[in-house]
Amino acid sequence: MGSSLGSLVCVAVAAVFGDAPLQSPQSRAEALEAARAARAAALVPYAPTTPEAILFAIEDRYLFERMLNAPRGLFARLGGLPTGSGLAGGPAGRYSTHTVSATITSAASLQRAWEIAAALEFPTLADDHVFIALHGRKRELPLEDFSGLGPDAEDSDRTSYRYRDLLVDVTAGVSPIDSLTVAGSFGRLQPAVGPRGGPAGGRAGVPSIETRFDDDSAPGLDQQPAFDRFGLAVRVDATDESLGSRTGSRLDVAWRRYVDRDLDTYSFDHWILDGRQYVPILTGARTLAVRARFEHLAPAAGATVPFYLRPTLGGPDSIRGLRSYRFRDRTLALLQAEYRWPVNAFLGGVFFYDAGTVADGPSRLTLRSFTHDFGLGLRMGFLSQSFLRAEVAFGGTDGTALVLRFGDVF
Amino acid sequence: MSSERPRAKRRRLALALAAGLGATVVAAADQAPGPRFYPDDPIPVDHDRTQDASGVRPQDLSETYDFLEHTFVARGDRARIRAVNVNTVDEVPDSSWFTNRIGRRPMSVAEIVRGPDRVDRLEAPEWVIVAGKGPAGFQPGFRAVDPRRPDELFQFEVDLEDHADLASGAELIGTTFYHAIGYHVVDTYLVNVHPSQLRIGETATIRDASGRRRFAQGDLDEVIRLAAKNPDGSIRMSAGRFVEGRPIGNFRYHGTRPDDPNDIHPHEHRRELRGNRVFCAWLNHDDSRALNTLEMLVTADGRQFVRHYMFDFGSILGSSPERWWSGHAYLYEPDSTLRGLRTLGIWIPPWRTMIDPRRQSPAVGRFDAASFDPPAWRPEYPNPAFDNMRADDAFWAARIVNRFTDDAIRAVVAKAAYREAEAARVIADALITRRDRIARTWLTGVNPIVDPQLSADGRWSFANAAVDAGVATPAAEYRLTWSRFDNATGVPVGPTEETRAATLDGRAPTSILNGSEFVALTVRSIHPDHPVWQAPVHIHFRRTASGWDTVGLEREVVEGDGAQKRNPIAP
Repeated sequence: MGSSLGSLVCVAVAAVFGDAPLQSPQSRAEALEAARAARAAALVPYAPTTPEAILFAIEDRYLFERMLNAPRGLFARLGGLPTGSGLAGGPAGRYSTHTVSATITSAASLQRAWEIAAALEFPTLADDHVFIALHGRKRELPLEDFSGLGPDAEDSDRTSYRYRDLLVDVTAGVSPIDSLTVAGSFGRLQPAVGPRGGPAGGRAGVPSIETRFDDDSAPGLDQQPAFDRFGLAVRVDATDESLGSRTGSRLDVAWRRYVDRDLDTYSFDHWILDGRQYVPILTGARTLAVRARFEHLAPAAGATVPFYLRPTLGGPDSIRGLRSYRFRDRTLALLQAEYRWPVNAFLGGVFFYDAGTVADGPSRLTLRSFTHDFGLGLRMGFLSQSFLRAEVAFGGTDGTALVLRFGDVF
Repeated sequence: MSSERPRAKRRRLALALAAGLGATVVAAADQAPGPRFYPDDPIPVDHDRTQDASGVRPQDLSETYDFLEHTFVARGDRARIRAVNVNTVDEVPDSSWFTNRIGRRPMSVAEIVRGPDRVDRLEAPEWVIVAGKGPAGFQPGFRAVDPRRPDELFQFEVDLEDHADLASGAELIGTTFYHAIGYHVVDTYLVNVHPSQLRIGETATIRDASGRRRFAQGDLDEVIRLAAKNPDGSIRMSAGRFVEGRPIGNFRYHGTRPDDPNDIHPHEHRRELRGNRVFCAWLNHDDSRALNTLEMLVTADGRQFVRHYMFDFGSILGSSPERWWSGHAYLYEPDSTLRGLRTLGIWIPPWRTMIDPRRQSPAVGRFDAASFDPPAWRPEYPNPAFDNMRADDAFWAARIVNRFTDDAIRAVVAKAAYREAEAARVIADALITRRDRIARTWLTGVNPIVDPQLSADGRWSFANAAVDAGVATPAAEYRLTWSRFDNATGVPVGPTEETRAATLDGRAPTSILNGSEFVALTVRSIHPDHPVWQAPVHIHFRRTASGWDTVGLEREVVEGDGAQKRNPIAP
């Protein structure tokens, strides 16, 4: 608007100092008209500043959506690889309508982790009550961590291994009411495990897995079969995220059977129970969020569960004070609590407490084996949705931990 | 308290301009050389369409830039000056911006409720969708026409499933009040449309991240899926008309439009934009920003000019319940952010816990009276015109708000046809209480003398707007200073006479009146509870054939007048 100010100055100067057109108006209307006539001689088109023009173009052309999550055409995939894979990205493409979406994405990281994934989805069948999806992926994670099984695994035993898999899954689900979803799936998983890969030398001071573990201490290290897998999952979601403070509860129950197709050694059932409760307090000015997660992998008779498919504990989404994948075993228990307070529309604070453990079966879970941490952090986003979080965790066995992560914890 | 005379102010303005400062570049025409009062003062109409504006080009507005610009930079001129577009009796003349309605004449409840509507009911057996709604706003919708009247285009917006009646009710209420107040608004209707009445036009398009493409059945299905439905499957929508003219963008709340020859008053110094803060506070129109304005290039009498609209009221009345800061805080405020961080969340603003949308009807948003503190009310981010609002601007607006009776307020809320009677009651009660709080705050923030008159036989009278509104007791005394006035030089001349009165009328000194063409009167009101009332009101009378006309009224305001609590970002 600088130009407008300039033109107004001209008008005002002319008015005050008596240029010809304004010299002696005989009425208020004449004076105003004279001022407008003077302005008419000095009009300029509106010229947005460069930042304004850029921001308008981004909004008007949906550039962020087009670049990062385009409904049609090419876009860039950012992230999406498991924790510890490093910053990843790659090209992607999609064609979607309201009834079908076909997507191919890829991502690679500096640690040489990579993934190619494809999805064919029908998300709105039967008036939005039924969905069917076909997912496939091939990926390699060259530097996965393994420190041994059980809650007593020593950090000094930390090793790395390479994990590859090829996965194809078909999922179909029904959502008879908004708060209930029931889904079933079947598919095939072809994993492969080997010595660590990645950049030369891997992680400094972290040897390859075969130097410290064998097939007894890391079941499945020597041979990896293909798995047929199928299962059912139920979600009851009564959370209400439309209000400023999240409220309500969510419960997930899932079961999936893995059938060893090649070795008849590693078949198992995977059970997951995950409950979350959001309690608004002080009329929603604060939120107490609690999560409890229990996972158990039950081997078929005479079988065992491969180490690389066992649930892990530690990292930004579980025990934040622990390194990612610090513990793993057949059974996992995790408790998390957060006290959240919004600071402004874009920023919130949080106090958190995490506790969890792993064990070789539910009967071996003990309170003594639980690892705890606590900490505080900031959440950046809008309304109740976090885009980025920065946290510092204390009390974990690995000392003070800093977390910088996209997205929420739970 | 300033005792500077208007003429001296004018000289100072001239000096400032000569020095190239430009900071007080306002009221260009008002400050032109010539008499203080022209024969046509006070003008009831500013004919701001005298210059052909056909050269105006559409302007784009970035929502993000607008937020960043106003949040981190104090845009516009921030001089604490009187609004520049008021006439000589401190009123807003009609213009392409504003048409005095309830502020100038009585309006019946029926007239208020009818608002800008051109038809009693908007109905059609079929609506043909011609375009998607576009990305702006929270509510899903589309653009459609009645095929019997294909030239009349409407934008339809639905209420979200969890909040039936919420946004559409707000849209109706906001449109109706803003029309009665005096702003240009588009006529908007409530309609109940069954999905079977909707047909997608053959050429209908929508623009999204895929680019412009054909409006598909899936697009309509998505709108219907998100919408709150009536028991019979129909959907309640608001339908706003696309008004005549060519859309050329939005107006900013600062500066002027550089390609509009008629736009000579900086927007941040326009009274109807400054005073809009009061109306927005009343209705909790926290989304009052440039993006929710509209400028149309219209043709009349063979000439084109720009008409300025207020637009999109769907988010007033706290209709985005998840926005917990609505009306109480900017999206970003450095002070409260630091305090929130420093106290690790222990500090909670008092207003934060005073309303809980979950405990009330889903048709009611974050809208209450208990937490309403008029001077502390805030839009989502700073607005230069709102920041410039002085006590005299707020007084002007508060008088308008106070003219809405309880019956009128309840009738306007009834127009929104809330299906839950309790929702209508809660909203109307809150509006009434907020109106009263506005009156108590802003009718008493200046010396509230209004409607001064001087009769042919020398009897003067005026009214006290605060007393008339029932928000203050009568002043203990009025101190009047009379003098003759030289209209050519703009200063009082000759001796002054001071009189005192305990009532609102009396007799003017004949020594001043006799032989005078203009008379200047300064009124100070003495009230123990309202010391700001001692700030003078300057009144000027002009002799006419039949007596005296009031040609001038200006209120002095006290610096730091408390009209609004400090904008933490403003300089």
